[in-house]
Amino acid sequence: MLSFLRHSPVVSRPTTQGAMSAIWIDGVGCFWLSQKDRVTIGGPGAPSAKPDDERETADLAILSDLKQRHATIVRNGEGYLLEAHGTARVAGRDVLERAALNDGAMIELGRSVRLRFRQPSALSLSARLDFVSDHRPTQSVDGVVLLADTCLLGSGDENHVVCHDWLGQILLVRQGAELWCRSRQALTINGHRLGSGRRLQSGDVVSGEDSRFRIEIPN
Amino acid sequence: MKFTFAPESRPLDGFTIKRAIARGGFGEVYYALTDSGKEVAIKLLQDNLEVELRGVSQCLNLKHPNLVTLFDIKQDGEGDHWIVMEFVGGKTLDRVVHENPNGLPLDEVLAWLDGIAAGIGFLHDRGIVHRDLKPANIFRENGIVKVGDVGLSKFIAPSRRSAHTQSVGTVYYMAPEVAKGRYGREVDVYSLAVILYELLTGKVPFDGETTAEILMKHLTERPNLAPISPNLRQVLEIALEKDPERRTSDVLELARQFRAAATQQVASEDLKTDDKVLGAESSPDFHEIHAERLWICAQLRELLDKARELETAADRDRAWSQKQPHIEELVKQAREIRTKAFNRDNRLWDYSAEGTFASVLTVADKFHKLASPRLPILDYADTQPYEKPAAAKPAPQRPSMFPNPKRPASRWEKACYTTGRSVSGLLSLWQRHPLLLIGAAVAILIWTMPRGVSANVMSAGRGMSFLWVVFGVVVTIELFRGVSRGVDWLFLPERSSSTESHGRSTGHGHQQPHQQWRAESSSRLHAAAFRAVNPNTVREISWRRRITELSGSLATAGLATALVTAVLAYVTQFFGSTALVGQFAAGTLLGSWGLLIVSKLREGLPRERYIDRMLLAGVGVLVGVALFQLDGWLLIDLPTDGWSQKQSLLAMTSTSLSGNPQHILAESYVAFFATLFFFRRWWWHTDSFRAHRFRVLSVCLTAIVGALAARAWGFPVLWGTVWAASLSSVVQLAAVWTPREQRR
Repeated sequence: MLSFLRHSPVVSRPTTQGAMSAIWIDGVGCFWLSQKDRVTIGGPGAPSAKPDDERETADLAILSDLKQRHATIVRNGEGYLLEAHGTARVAGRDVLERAALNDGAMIELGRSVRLRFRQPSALSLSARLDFVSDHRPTQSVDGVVLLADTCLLGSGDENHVVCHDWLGQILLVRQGAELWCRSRQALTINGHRLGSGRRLQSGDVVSGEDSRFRIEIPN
Repeated sequence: MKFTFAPESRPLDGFTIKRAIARGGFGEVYYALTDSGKEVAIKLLQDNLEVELRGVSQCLNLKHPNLVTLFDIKQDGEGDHWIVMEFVGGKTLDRVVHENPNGLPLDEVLAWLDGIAAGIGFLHDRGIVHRDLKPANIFRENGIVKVGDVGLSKFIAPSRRSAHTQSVGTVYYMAPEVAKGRYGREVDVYSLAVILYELLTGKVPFDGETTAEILMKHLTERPNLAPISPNLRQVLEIALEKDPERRTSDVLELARQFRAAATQQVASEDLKTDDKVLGAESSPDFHEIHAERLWICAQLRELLDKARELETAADRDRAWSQKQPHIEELVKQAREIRTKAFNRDNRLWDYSAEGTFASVLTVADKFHKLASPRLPILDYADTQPYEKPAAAKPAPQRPSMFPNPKRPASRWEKACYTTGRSVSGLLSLWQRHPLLLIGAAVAILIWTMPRGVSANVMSAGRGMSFLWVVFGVVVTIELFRGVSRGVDWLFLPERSSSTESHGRSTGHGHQQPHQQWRAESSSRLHAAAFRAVNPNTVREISWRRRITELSGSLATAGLATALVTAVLAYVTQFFGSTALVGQFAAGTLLGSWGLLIVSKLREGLPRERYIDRMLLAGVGVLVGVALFQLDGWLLIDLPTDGWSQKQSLLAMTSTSLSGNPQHILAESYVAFFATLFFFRRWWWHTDSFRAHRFRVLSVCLTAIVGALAARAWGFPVLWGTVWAASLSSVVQLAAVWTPREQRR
């Protein structure tokens, strides 16, 4: 958070926070991927004195008046829960300790931050947070994918990342800590043909016939 | 869409392109970050016409909240010009129209219109015509509408239009006089009117196959205003005039007219709904009644206020009984008002009057309760006459098994009856397993609760699903027993007597030889004799029977597969994702069907051991291919460790291992299933003459073979083992079994 205050202004400045990966999709937007089972949401907090102090800020730090750690989204074997550390409402009800998150549930944090929880695909446990109010992290992000097993990118509503004009579908599959890319269409990664699937590394550019995206994975 | 610049490229010093945003009529637009992290949109101007650059330079310092701000114009190393501007997130109006194919609600239209009109009005005030107003150029972020591409419009006369820079999208919104090279601000009015038409109806007024066709329609055809509501029709008609002189002169004027017409429309609609409720707007005394109604409401409200005051006072002084007469008085007054209203005209008493009246009554009720001393609670228990339980009636005689005992029941009747009884027996299951039912009830309760009332309940619910499994097993066994008994009746030979219990009939002279044998077998047989009647026993089985038994088994296999998969999915954490559940179920089902089909078709024929094995292995190949296809279709990966794959026979013999160690090869699938199917004597699992209906030992052995086969072919060992075990279980559960004493 506010990392540009700590780093000298050089080119390879990370554009995401903490352990989040980012995918930049041409014509679509920027989506963050979190592989953690617990994702904390909070406000920006004060710029820390220590340069690499990641403990203080939340995984998803939104420029808003939220507490530093306002809520945690927890994935267990069956679904998602919201643990509230500050005032929170889920689907219009106040959350005292925790509440289950179902597809389409509106998460209201603090006075004005609103996120919508979506679990678009029945075939995957992965979920997505949509920004409903105009609060964002320091840079504009179109959604945060909570990656459990797979992340679907395609034109239909069943995809985690909806790319309106795409013809095919691309899958990001989680293999342990690694991220793999698979698709039924012919893809290239950094100009090389993708066979049945390949591990994605930070900075890889994946291109299809009508699609292109770049992924940034924190080390 | 292909874009020139790759992500992370830096055509302009100080800006890093992160992704492409869109391709507009004037060039590609990219989202870029400056070195310090400011997000901007940068647009590459494709051909550097001096006139264009001048247009942009003019607008460079215009500031308006409804216009996309221009920051700078920069030149890259190759001499190309880039415009650096404010990045606006959020949806374009284009996308919004796309998502609402039948038009937007009127208040949404007004919200967009106000922003656009303010932005364009400001431009006009500064002497600039936008010329390229279209939904793809209009954004809304944080509720603020912003118009983009300011100062960028070329002189888009069709004659000068080049195929590359002119997108058809623009033509939809292009005023007719543009064809003549005329660019007054009426051009923007026309475009805005087209946009309004599109927002209201979801369609542009002039559409066509080609640019020329659309242009022609703009020049000659009258717009079809039928889908527009009458009030707005006139406003749009003037704004869509072909002749700029006769068109609405100004966007702000258009917005004002549109808003006025829209509010008028809303007002008239409100009036209409009011009319419907009353049904009397046209009657002369309408306004009189309305006034009267208001008066009645005011009176009631006054009464209610008094009642509330009394309530507060009574509560403070604990003087409920003293104040009760006052409140009674208020209620009386309220009732009088109501009676009067109804006597005059029942239209006078509306919902709000009724509501206020009810509130007064509620307050009075409270007084009534708190003022009156509490009545002793009557204990009715003693007064109830004690009724002796009736003497236990003799249990009703069970009806005979078949309606007409004189007529020997047919096999079908017996089969149906036996099956039916076992099914109805399920309903009385609780008599035999009361705990089970209680558990099931609790489980149902927890199951049906909204998921995760709290995390604790959820985890308890998961524990309870174990009970479900037990319940499921019992039900399945009961059902299976019933069905198999029923099937037995079907295939047992017709008996001469109408004895109900099978297996005890005595042989008669007219029975056929093998029936004779069966009758003898009803007494105890030697172990040696049992052994003699095993899956290898050659016997004659009719095709009809084979097919009947097979179809029953296939259906049961489906049930058993579902059961096994459900157990694995709910009790263990075996599956990582839903797609894997599907893959597992499909494998188990296909495999068990293959095994059941081959075994049933070969049942009773002289056993050629290797022919059977080869047939089974062939089925294994088919199953493997099918599952590999499914794997590819579902785009899943079985969880595996790279080590076992690298050490496998396949890896040693072939070089075709893909770069992805996680991906199971087609060879692995095929080899695993072929091996598994080849090395087990599956007919000992499926033959109706197998020693036991269900043998756990067989399952264990199969699991071991599965593990070895998986290990050998680089298949995930855990999956191999579990798949083998579940195949064995399903097949044994599903295959028909003849009790020993009935074998013949």
